[in-house]
Amino acid sequence: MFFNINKLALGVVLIAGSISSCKKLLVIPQNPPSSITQQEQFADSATTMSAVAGVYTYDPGSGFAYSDGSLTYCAGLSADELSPIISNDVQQFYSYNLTPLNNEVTNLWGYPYQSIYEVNAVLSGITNNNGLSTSFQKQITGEMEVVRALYYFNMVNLFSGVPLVTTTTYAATDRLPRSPATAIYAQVKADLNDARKKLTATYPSAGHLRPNLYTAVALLAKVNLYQGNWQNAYNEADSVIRLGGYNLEPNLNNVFLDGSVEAIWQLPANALYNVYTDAANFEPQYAGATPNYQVTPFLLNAFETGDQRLQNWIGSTSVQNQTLYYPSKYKNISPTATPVEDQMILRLGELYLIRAEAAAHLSNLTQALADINAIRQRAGLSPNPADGASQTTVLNAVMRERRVELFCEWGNRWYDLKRTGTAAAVLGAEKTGFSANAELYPLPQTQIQLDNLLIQNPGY
Amino acid sequence: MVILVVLAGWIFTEEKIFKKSPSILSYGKLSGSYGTSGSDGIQAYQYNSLYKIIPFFPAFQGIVPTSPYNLYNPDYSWALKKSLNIALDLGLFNNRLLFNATYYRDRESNQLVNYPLPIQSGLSSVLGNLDATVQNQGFEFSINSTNIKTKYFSWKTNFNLTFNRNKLISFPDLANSSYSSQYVIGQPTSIVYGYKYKDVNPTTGLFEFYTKNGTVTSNPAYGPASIGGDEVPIANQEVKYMGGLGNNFSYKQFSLYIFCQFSSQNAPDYLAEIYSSNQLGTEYNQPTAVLGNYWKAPGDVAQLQRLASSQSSAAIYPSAIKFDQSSGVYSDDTYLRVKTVSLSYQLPDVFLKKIHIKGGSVFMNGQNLLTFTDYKVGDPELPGSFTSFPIQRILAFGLNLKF
Repeated sequence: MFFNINKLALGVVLIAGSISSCKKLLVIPQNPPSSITQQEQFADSATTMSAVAGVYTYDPGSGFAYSDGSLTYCAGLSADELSPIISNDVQQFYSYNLTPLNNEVTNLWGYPYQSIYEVNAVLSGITNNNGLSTSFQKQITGEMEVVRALYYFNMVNLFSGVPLVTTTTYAATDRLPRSPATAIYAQVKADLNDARKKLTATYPSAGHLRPNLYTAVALLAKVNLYQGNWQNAYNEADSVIRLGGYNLEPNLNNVFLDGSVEAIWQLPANALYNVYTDAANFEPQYAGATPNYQVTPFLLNAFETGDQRLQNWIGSTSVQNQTLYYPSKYKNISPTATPVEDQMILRLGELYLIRAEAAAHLSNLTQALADINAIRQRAGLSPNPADGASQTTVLNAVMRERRVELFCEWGNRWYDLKRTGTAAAVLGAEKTGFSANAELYPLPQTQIQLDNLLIQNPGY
Repeated sequence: MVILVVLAGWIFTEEKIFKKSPSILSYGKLSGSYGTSGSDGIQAYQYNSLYKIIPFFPAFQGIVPTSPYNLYNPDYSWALKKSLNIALDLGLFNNRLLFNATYYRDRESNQLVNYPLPIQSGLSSVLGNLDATVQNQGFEFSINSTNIKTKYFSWKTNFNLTFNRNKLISFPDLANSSYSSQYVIGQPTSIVYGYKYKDVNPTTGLFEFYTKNGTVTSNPAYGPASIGGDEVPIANQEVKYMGGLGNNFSYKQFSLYIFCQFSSQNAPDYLAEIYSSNQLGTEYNQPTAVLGNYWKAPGDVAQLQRLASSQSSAAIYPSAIKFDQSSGVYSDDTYLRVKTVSLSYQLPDVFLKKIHIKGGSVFMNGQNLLTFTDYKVGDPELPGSFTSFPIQRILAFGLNLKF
């Protein structure tokens, strides 16, 4: 409509959008060229395996959390295993002045949740899916539950209670409070107990790169140990050791290699250069280079004389006439076509020590000592004498053996100090600045701002 | 989705009253428009839950890995924008001086945004509509004048000036959303939350801030007041005003164009970068402005806090990182920059005919030649990052030939 009043122009334009008549003219493909929809992703077992492969991909954020090695060095700095040479964000773990703006803390919180989302997405994609066989659904469900349990187990040990997310619907998860630690542990155990029913002893693929029945049982043993359920922990560790078909690697330098007989669950470092990040983080990059982290004198002095683990698992280098020691369980820093070393998630050595600790608490001192001695013998040490041993001395021996066997692996020392209630005594004596509040990491500041139901840990 | 626009214009100088009496006003028009429009400047297919191959990572045991890259939200629609525009155009002295003043007011609602989510939802944002209304209103003025026009010489000037004010009009349930610590209703969306800075304490040598109660501390609490912290809106980074002034001179074959731009805003200064990543004590170059400006002994009144053996020393680190989020790192950023100077000489036709060329000119161009500002350290056009590659002063000479 256009009124042409002489000096006054008035225009009205009206466009009503109606696409219904255009439908037949346009054929819109279902998905953009470089991605597929969720329905297509879980249409059959082959495409589902791509999503499963995504869960195991060696990349925190889009794949397997903790594959950047940050749990190892952050928890190692918080405990008495490592001291930093380079400062900034990691220094705060060592000197107990962490702030909620710390970048490492943001990733220790964020990456697992991104990975948990992927796991939940696979679980929802395969449940009640008629395109997949029942046995396939069972297998994948079991595997995903083990992965999710691993993440929540580490989250609850680093932060205490965290939001419990088991669905991919963001409207249900964007405003969640922190669930109490007991609820998180309950979820971990529920996942592992269900996985036990679904998984078999046979590994679903070549090597020990995906969880099987004994992976679930081994992780459950560790969880029960942490909760003080000694009998369950004993039984579960026992079944893995006796029935799993694993062996302790006699040569210390072979323990962390791809294909190690000691591996219950390993993750291949399939990345651009196929170098596992612990090696990249800890090994000096060239002869005479300063390593990023030093092993503390406390850890060095914890080794007995003749302990081959000091020779084989701790490296030393001379920088400006000073000898510096660094963790060297993973040594390969040269790019290779296929990974030489895999990220060890669970290994038999740890299970021996779990059984030993559970046995000691159940007053089965003979069994406890036998297990400790199996580990000691592999390390080239003489066995611990049995006579005069009381429950206390055996427990101390177990904790001591855990310290020198499991150092710089998955935060074991940090978790052990906290769960035994000895963190304040041990760390308070060795370093300054430790307080009870330092036992938990702060929640990232950005997360609290995005979900105001999250309450910060005390002291931050 | 309905798009509706209503326009009206009135050239009032054509009215009989004006035509009868002569005046300096040779042209005058009043116009206005009001309309709605929709926008959807987003990626396609986001209403589906999509998976993509994880880039750069090799196959896991021979299987190519994929991962989800968006959160599932099938219910989003166009963003709606309502615009009101009123303009006055005047021409004086036989249209040798043209003047335009415009008032505009845009209101955008139902916006399509990447709504930030806590990472526990799996990804850091989801595409969806936000039921908030944001308003942009302001004035724009422009003047075009032909100052001198003779046979051989002319001088034209153009000048423009803009004032824009942004405001968050409404946001239902702001306190419970992911934006609760970023926006305030009635304030611009570019406000910044931080600590109110006081000064360096002459006794302790540390930065000091005001808490929400007005007490003074070197270690204020994180977060906005709504969750118990001490952060308040400390700065508004909106451009207060901006504009440009261009002058065009031509004399026979020569022409000279000079363009200046100016703007004023509140922006982070060099201290923002120093106290975030370039701290005193790290192995980075420092601007001379920091030399000697730090606190050394009790009783000193200094601009910057004390130093320690390491920039992450527990004694100074907490107050240093809080200073970086305080009003202490914001300062006025007003500048006038001679942006372009262009001098060119049109080659005379006589000369061109001899060498059989249709047209040609020689020119000299200068950019960013001169800047007038009080903003310390760094380029006022790139506030808060003095270590990034600066805007360069460019001088170019050239020859233009048309064949």
